[in-house]
Amino acid sequence: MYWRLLFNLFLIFILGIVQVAFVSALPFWLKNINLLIIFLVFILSLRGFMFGFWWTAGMAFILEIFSFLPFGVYFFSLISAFFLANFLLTNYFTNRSLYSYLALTLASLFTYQVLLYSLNYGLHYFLQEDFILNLDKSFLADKLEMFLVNILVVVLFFYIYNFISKNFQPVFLVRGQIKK
Amino acid sequence: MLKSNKKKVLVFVAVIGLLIFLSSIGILNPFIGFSDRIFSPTMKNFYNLGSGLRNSFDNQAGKKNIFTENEELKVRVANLTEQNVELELVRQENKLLREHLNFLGKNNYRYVMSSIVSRGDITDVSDKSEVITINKGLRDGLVPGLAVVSSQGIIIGKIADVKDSISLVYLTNNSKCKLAASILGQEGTEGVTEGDRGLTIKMGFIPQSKEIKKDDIVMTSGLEYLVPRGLAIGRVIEVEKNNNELWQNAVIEPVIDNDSLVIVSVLLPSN
Repeated sequence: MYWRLLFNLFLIFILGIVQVAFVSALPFWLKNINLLIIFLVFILSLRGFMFGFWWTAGMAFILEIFSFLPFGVYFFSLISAFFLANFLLTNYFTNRSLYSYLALTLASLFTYQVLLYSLNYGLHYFLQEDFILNLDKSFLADKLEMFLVNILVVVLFFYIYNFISKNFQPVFLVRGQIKK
Repeated sequence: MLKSNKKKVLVFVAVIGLLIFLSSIGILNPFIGFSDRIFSPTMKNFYNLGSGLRNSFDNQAGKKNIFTENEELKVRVANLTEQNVELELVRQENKLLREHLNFLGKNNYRYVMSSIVSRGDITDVSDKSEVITINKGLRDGLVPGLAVVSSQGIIIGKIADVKDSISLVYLTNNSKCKLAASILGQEGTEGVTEGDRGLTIKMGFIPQSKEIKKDDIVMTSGLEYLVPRGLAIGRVIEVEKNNNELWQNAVIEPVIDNDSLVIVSVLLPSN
């Protein structure tokens, strides 16, 4: 029990560090990869709500440690994105389809980004500091690029996981083999 | 969602609320500082790995264009020969500047060397790496406004925010990084530089009476208490002068590639 907890904490720590230090230093569009959101969606669908919730909280905490935004901004944004993913998964999507993962990741990513920018803008407004956000072509192109990159990573993860595990493979019921 | 889950989530949300409250009154700061110190060596290694990958990507991208560039360079050689004389003068000026700076050794600057542990931020709205995080903070005597320089003594930015063991640095191409600047070889402050969409640096508030030309070296003027005079900012690549305007502007190209930085130094006040 405790070993499993420690192991999960270690994985959360590694994933958080990889996102904050490694991914941010990558070249070109690779730095737009959001491993946290992608992992959260996968963990939510594979391991369930509570397990995913603890992971979300752990990763949000790592982000908070290295963030210069007021404490709580990442908690709120990441957990809200996670709740949205859970709501969509429970009510509208299956957990075995690539398209479901793509939709869930995009929805979570969009929510996460909108909340982060909104909270940041709100805090700067409240503190009467400058926060210049040019919603111009360049900004929108950057965000579009970010969504596309993350879609690619989800596709990659999905096929890798599908290759090493049978969780995503379809199950068919054959008529005549079901015993009453 | 199950009922038990709801209960757990409510407890957890309450815990987060408590954490936010404790953080806002500063009780969590020592713990966060401790966590920063624990994580920072690992982060440094991960950052170096990512940075190494980025540099090798850049080199590869450069190789692909080498043949096209070669043709263009042949044409440019003739033009450059003419400019060579002027550049030689600039080189001498630059050498003089380096001698003036004589960095991190003979000068009386007190400094703190630090490693970059992260790059970019949500406030990095242009997505062009205008912000870095370094692994030194309040404990090392850093305060907002201090100059951050490369190993050659070129200013790369200013400390914007500090926590116990890490600091946020706005790079010179960040629109929030404003520096009092002057032209090498001229007295006093000539203008103020600030980043322009994460790409170049813009120098504004330059009086119309001042003579500025392409390839002039722009340096810090020393007007700011925490930023010493004589730190190179960049080279003028364009002068925007309109007689109807009160001021003239200059576009400055940074003399250092911020993407290649891994270790930086923060200059501390002499007293």
